[in-house]
Amino acid sequence: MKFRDSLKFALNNLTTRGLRSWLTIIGVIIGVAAIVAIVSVGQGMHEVISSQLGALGNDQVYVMPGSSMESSMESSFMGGGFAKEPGDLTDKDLQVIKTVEGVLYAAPDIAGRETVTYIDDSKPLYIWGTTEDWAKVREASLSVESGRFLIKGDNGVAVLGNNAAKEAFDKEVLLGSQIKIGNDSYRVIGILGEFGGLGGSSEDRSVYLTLEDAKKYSGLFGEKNYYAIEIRVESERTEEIAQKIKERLMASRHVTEEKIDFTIYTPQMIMKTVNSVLATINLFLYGIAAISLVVGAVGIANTMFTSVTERTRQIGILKALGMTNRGIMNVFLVESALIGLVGGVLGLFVGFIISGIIGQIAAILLASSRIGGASMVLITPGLVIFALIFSMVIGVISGIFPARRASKLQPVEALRYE
Amino acid sequence: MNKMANQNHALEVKNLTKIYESEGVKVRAVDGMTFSIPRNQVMGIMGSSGSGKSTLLHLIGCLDKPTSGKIYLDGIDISKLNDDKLAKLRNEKIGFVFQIFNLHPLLTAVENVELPETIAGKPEKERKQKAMALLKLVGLEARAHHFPNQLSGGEQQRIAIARALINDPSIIMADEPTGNLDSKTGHEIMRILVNLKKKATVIVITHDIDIAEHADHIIKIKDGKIEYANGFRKKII
Repeated sequence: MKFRDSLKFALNNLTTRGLRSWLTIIGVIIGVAAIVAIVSVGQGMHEVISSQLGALGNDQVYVMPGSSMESSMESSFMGGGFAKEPGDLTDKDLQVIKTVEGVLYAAPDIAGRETVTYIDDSKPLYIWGTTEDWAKVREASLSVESGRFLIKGDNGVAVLGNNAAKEAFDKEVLLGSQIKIGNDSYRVIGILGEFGGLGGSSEDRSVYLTLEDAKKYSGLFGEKNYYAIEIRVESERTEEIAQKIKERLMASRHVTEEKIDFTIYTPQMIMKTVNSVLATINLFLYGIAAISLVVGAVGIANTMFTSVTERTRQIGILKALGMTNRGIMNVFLVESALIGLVGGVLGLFVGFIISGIIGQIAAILLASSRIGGASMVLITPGLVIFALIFSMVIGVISGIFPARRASKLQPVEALRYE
Repeated sequence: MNKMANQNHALEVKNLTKIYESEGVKVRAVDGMTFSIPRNQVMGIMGSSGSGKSTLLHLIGCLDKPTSGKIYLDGIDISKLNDDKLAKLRNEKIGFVFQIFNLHPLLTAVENVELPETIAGKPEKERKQKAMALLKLVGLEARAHHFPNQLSGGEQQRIAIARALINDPSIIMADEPTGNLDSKTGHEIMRILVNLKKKATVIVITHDIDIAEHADHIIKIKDGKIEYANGFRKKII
């Protein structure tokens, strides 16, 4: 029998058992929609994070206290904890780093959270203590909207991140006005433009002071200890220079690889860690989606087994008229593949809709952050093709056993079936 | 395919036996039958219910496999053919007409008639034309696009006969073709079948002696064995 005729047979059978066919197809739709939604959101998140990290520039190296990237990142990106574990990076480390060949600029950070008052309004904001070199390290993402950034010799002045100036307080902080941190007053000499790059939102909500001024809050940071040292190196050699910095610091701090007490990382390394986290999350979500797809597959198999039993006599007729075992098998496989394909196409559309909804919700929730501007959902042609082929394969696999049972029926027994 | 020596016979059966085992009891449904049918003749196979005539038809129609013995169909030894080759043989050489018509319920009359050609993978236009011509032959051209449940028993059987003819078979095998029809329609159907002997050898299973009178030869079966055989009907009865 030609494929076109098998297809016609399959369509005929599916439309005859309309309700049952649709109920089976719904099972596939749910599974495929779940996979499409999860994969598209996963891909979208990956894309957003990649582009945000890319905006940091590929010439950045960070030195953090602590022996692993996880512990360092935990204290920085994962929230809370800036002041809880004061680093032991010192001025000596900074000087060592500056001597490494290929290092262009290095700026120490001390950071924490303090209550900042503007007029009568008090809000907890991030406080960064750094040097004028910080602006050069962050050149790719930093812009000054008005005024200027810190320079050597500054004292009693503050530069505000864009959000800290415009939205943190009831009234917009103006250039030249005074803010208070504890009992100390600072004159606002600069307001930064919005940052690019992941984590930019925390920089936007920060107040920047000189190291000397920030050290007044030594209860939080330790007098000589830096929270981190940010370095800009010659691009194209980032990994190589990062390795050199590591070696020099290990030598000067007299630590071995096993007992290393600082961590060096680059945006590429962060990406690797983020990818690893995303992969774990995705694996979990794919697992859930896979379960729903398995349920859909079981639904197809169940429908096809019922169909084989109901159509035993028809199978007998087809066999009596000369259809081979393979021909019978093809008729049933085409039918189950069709269920899978229709489920896949519709599941794709439902998945698009769910992805769109998730994208909209994410856009609303993250509207105030940097990520808010980007699409959290990414549907690639590869995903569409994968979903369609995968659903059809699921249909075929689910149909194999029922089709095999149908093909193995003896014509004389099938014809006798009541 | 193995060819036998005598090409004049449409069917030759040698020492054919079929044993069923049911709940530990062996039943010899067909017990050592030997007979042959010349080409372009009508043979009636008679017998009471349970005599083994339907089992015999299933065996010679390649729908079931014998326990022992040989069947030569149109010169081909079918006893050693595998499932696929048997299916091909059924498709190319045999036309079936069943007591309960066995039309495909989801196909129209014309689609049912063309079904053996559809299975054979013939072009749609060609098989449609052939099917319409056959429907005209059995007087049901106007009912071409009706489904089986929209047709009477007699009409369904005529559709089944048209279907049996579409592949230009060597042998038409009819199992109680008039069993579900009234007497008048039954004789009409038999007349159509008898006329087909110009094109093919016709084997008709029946327990109705009036219907059997249309046949050139008769084999009467009892308890899986041939009671009468190898003679023209008039000589037997």
